[in-house]
Formats: sequence, C-alpha cells, structure tokens
Amino acid sequence: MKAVSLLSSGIDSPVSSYLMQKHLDIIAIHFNNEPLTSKEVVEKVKKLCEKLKIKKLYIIPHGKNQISLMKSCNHSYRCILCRRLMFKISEKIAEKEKCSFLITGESLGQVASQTLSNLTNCDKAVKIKILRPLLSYDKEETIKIAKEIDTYNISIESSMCCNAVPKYPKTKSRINFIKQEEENANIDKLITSSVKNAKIIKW
Amino acid sequence: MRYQRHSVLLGKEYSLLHKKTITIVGLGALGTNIANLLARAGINLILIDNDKVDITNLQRQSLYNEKDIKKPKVTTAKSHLNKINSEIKIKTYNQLLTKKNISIINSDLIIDCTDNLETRFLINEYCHNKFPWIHTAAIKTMGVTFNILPNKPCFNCIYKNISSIEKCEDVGILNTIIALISSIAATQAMKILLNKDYETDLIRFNIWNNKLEKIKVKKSCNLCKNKKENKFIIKLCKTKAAYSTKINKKLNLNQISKKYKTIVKTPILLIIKVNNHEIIVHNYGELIFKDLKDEDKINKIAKEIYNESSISS
Repeated sequence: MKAVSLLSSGIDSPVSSYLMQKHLDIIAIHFNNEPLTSKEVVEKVKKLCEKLKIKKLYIIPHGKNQISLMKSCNHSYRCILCRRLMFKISEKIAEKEKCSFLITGESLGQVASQTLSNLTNCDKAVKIKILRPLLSYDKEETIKIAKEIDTYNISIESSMCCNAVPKYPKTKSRINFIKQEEENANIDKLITSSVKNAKIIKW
Repeated sequence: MRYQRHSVLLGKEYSLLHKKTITIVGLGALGTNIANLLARAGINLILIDNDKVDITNLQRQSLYNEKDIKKPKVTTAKSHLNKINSEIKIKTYNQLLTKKNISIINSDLIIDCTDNLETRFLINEYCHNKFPWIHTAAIKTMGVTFNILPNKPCFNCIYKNISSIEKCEDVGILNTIIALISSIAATQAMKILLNKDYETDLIRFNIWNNKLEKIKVKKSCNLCKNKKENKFIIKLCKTKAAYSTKINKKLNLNQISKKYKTIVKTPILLIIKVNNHEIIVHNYGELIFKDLKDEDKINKIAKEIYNESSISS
C-alpha cells in the first residue's frame, strides 16, 4: 500500500514519515513557500528524503497560493485555509499516484493552529484517510526519534520559517465560514495550477 | 603663582578657568586621569560614578591605591584631588546617571568618561544643542576623543547605527593609551572653555603603532536634522537564517511599494527588492531580510524604508 506524506523541513514531519515507512510505501510532498521563504528550505527537504530513502518527492509551488489567500481571506483563518489547501492538493497527487493515505506530522498543541477543532475541519477538506502518527507525541519524544534516525541535524539547519503566519491564528474555526472563504479565494483554480506546476524529483 | 607655568603660556585669561566647572561622568581610567589634570589646572569639578574601587582598576585608574579597594570611587577621588589642589570645589554624586537625575551634569562642560553607549546617548540627548561635551573612549590600544558643541555634529551622527561596544574586561586595555587620550581631552577641555581654536574632527589614536587619524564628522542623524527618529530593533531569527528589523508602528505598504521595486503585493505584506536583496515587509512593522547578512547595510535600508512609510502616515 502507498501513502503520500507531507514533508516540511522541520523536525516532526520526517519522524512521522519514518514511523509509517514500516507499514507503507511513501511518496513525499513538500509545499514550497518561496518567495515567502528562501531556497535553502527545499535543499533541506531533499536531504531529508535521501536520509529517509524516500524515492519520489513532489515539490508544490505554494508561495503564490499563500499570497492569494492573503489577498482575499480573513487573516485569522489563513492557517487553516492553507492547511486545507495543502490537503486538497495532496489528495490530487495521491489519486495520481494511487496512494490510499495522507500522512502528516501534526500533533496537538504544537502550534496555535493545530487544535482538535482545526484538525477536524482539515479532515473535512478531503476524502482520503489521514494518518497522524505524532498526534499525541510531545516535542521531546519526537526530537528523540529524530536524533535516532539522523534527521534532527538536517531539520535544525538554518532556514527561514513561514512568513505567512498571521498574528492571531484562529484556534477554533467554523466550517461554513471556511467554505465561504475558499470560494472567495477561488480555491479550485489554485489546486489545479498547483498540481500542474508541481516539480517531481526521483531517486 | 600656583598656575604660573600655565598662565605664562596661555595668557591672562587663563584665570577664567578657575571660575569654570567641568563635569566628569565616569571615574574609571579616563575619568581619573582627566580629573587629575583638570584639578591641577585649577578647574572646579563635578564627579559622577556609582562604582567602587576594585583591584583590577589599579592598573590604569590613577587616583586610587590599594587602600581604596571597595571604597566609593567619587569620594576616594575627591579626597585625592583635594590633596593635590585644595583651592578647587569638587562636588560628587555617588549615583548612576539616568534620565531622572541627568540634570546633575549641568556645568560649563561635560566630559564623557563612561564605558557604555546608553549613558552616552543619554548625555547626547540632554546636551544636544545646549551644553558642550567631550566624548572619550579607549579600548585595547586605541582611544577616541570628539568635541561635541552646540549646533555641531553630535554623538548620534557617529554612533547611531552601533548597538554594542567591546568591554575592557573582555578584550583588555593598555594603560598608556589612557594617559594619551586623557591628555588630549583635558587639553581640548581647556581650549573649549577658553574659546581657543578647539578641534572639530574626531581624533582616533592607536598607541601600539602610533597611528593618528582625524575623522571629519558630518551632521547626519535625525536629531541634528530635527526629525523624529524611527527607532527599530534588529535581530537574527531563532534559526539564524535571516535578519529582521522591527518597529513599533504600522507601515504604509502602498507608499513603500511605490518607492521600491515590488515583487509581491498583498494587503498585509510586500516583497520588495532593494539593491537586488529581497526583503519581506510586514504591515505590522517587521522587515525580513532574506539574503542580506551585513548589519550596517540592513540598518541603512531599514531606516530608509521606515522613513518612507512615516512620511505618509
């Protein structure tokens, strides 16, 4: 069985990919936030794939999606809108690659946007089954594994963080409002063009 | 009779100096050496310092000896100076100079013998275009003096972009540079008070290789240009990937995007290009420098952008 796994350049997502590798063949998807970040982030992701022996990586140009959301959406909702958008795009990639699962490194209370309410509303964005192996891990446990599998040192290499995070992200979101905002942002168009412009790297 | 060697050299008006008072802020190496020279020259003094004498001071701080360790610097200095010259008046303040008590420096001339930038900026702000003062500093084998007179370039014009300086305890200080810089500053103090052609350049001397530099200072700061300064902080982000600056005000993104080449424009942030460097401009006052690592350049660009934004608001 196959799965797509979201891979940022941080500490958590390589660990969640690693944990599920025992059970599934994994294709990684990275959402590239350039120009809101700089190019070293993608370099880190490539190193992480090599370290985890992942054979295929999709790099989605996500910066312009973020910029679109900034132009049309309520700022406190942008984190959840961005996350749902990543899920929707990943679902399309999963269909293409015949993958049955979507793996994420989300864990509760990690950042303001990763609350149960928000995660539930993210689930509603897609039909694909979402696996969150780190859901109840605390950061120390995750770091311990990251060190064991040698991804930690790559993850902590210096790279720019997300510059799109609003000052006060919503921790509780309303699904009706989310759907309205997605319509305003013309999200289907963003999904199509993101999938079309994805860059694929194979090892 | 006492000052015959000075008055024969400098003329009758030398006696004017005995009616003048000079404030010395900081009684460390430069402060004690300068106080010694000025007391001998017959000039009244105000001494300000809240420190006590420490064994590591004795290598260069001339008014103290081993018996003075742990005694307050100002009173110790005063008793030594009064033994040298009992005719002068010496007022002491065993206090740290702050915004609240700054008026204790009021006198004919102030000499900065402090060891930190905060106090110097404080003195500069208080004295600006009102009182003459002399900035002195020494570190390692180098020393600096600069006369700051009303309506002339100020301390800010030189140091506005500098946020920290080296400390003697970390990098050391040679005692001979102290004597030299103290002599230059005390000479300038007399010249300023006697209104003789005092130095207008910044003087920097390295006593290790005897390299003397005279540096022209131009009025360049907002204080001198009578503009309200946009104060911002600069820092390296947690992962050390990028520098950012932050100011406590909202930015006018429209105004900024008109002035600079703009790659991305949204209601809350811009990405602009300045000298080929990409900068993310957040409307809440933060600038992220994606690739620039030179703090001087960052300071300069940030100042420009912040100024641009305030003109319109």
